[in-house]
Amino acid sequence: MNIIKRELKANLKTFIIWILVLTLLLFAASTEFGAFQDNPAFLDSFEGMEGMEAMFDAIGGSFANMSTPEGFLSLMSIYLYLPLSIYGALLGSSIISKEERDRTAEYLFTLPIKRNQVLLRKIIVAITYQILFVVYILLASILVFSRYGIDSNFYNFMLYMFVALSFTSLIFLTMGMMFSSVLRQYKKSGAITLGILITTYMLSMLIRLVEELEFLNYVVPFQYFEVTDMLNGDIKWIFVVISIIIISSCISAVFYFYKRRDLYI
Amino acid sequence: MNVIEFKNLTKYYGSVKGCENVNISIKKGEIFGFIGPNGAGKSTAIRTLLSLIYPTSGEVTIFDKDAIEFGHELRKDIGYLPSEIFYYDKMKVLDLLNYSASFYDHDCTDKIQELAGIMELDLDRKIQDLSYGNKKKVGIVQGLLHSPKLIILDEPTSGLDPLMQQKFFNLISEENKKGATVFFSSHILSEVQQLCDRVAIIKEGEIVKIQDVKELKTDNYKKFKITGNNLNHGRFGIKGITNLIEAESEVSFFFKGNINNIVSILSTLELTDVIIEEPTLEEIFMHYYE
Repeated sequence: MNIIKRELKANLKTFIIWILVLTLLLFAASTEFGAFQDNPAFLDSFEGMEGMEAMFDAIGGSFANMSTPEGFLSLMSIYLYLPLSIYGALLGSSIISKEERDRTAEYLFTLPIKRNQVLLRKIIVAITYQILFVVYILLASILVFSRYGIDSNFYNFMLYMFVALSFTSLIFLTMGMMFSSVLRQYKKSGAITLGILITTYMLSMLIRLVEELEFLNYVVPFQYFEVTDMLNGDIKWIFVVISIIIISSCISAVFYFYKRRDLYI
Repeated sequence: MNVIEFKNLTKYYGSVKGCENVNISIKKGEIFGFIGPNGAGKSTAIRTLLSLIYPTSGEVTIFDKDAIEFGHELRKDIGYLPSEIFYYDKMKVLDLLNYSASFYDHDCTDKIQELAGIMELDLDRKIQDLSYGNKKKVGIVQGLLHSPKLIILDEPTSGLDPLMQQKFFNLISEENKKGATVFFSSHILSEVQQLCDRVAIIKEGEIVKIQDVKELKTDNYKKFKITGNNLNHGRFGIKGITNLIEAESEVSFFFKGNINNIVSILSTLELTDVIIEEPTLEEIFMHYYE
């Protein structure tokens, strides 16, 4: 319990900063939506603009969605995916690697506790914060969009978003942990995870534009959960399974490799 | 019973040698010194002992148990003071110590207060505000707060002023009298001389010699310094003399052998002063490093 408490405390400040920024972003976005909703003529003016549909395709939405809160949120969903995943990548890599980076490993791992016991506690804390972040974002979304009248469609969409955001961000969280455990250059784990995150994000935009690349869907977490599916009350369960496989493999790698290697102090 | 046993311990970092074929047995209740210059492999051996790093070959046992397999259990009875102290910067000293204490089965509150009192440590300050020496004090308290049966010290005195060093040595002696075994690494020989029963000398990753500290001193050399007139006539070219420095009015040398040989030479000379001393361990050990 002591390690869990310490880690919860040590990571609280960063968490609060992140959720505050995201709250602002959500609030701004919902206000923008209000402007569209009150002014249908404004939306009509987009109609017939060349290339508009293609642009929406690239971000994984459809123009028709602009008029409902859940549709609007689905269009800006990448602004939820990206920060949550970046938070995960940074939290995952730092929660493991900070002990060596700050050279506190020589203290922590000379206490009477197994390395894997320490890791388990760190993983529990990291996953807790990640899920809390997702839950918070969804609750905040409900709160800021409730001004515009939300119905069961919105709540259903939120439920699917919970699954989608949780799994996507947990993939990057555990990937960050894995790199800090496996790499000799543990300090680079954050940068590498972020690199993969940005690359797969770019790929996901490309896949939406170029159909021939669809086979890449399986390696791009941002493609696992299509917002258009989720708006229609659907989710591709195969990708839930794939996500679980990736997440549990990363966690297993953390347990397997970290206890076997020299601590770099 | 041997508390610590290094058996053919070899550690390579890639192709860089940390230490090679280290064999040391440390008995219960002993204060064992581990002497060598920086980079000789002292910390490598100690970190293997604590399973922070793993041996390339060979093994280490503590209380007759494998140091890696049973590491977490063994560490209940080990107090470790690393050469450089790094704690969670944002924690208060007392919180850090209580956090450490929470990993042990018994209550350590009184011991924390007692040790902090002796070391004059302010428990209310944040770790990041502490000077190097004060961090070292936190390290000392943290290393001893659970009354360990084995105390491992890696260059413990750097950063402590002489007064604190003395208090620290007294603390260690007391713990030793209560039954704790002490493994003490240092590159400062006088402190080893003051504290230790036996000493291992390590050079370039390999143990050069393991010897009784008292024996080391009595067995060996006497240090002579004589002053007088017309001394520089090559009279001291006899067996057993080393480090000879001759000048017209002053000669100094180390001597190992029958002391009468020296006295008979001295009796032929016109002297103003003779000083015969025990050489310091520094002077003795220089031989191993030349």
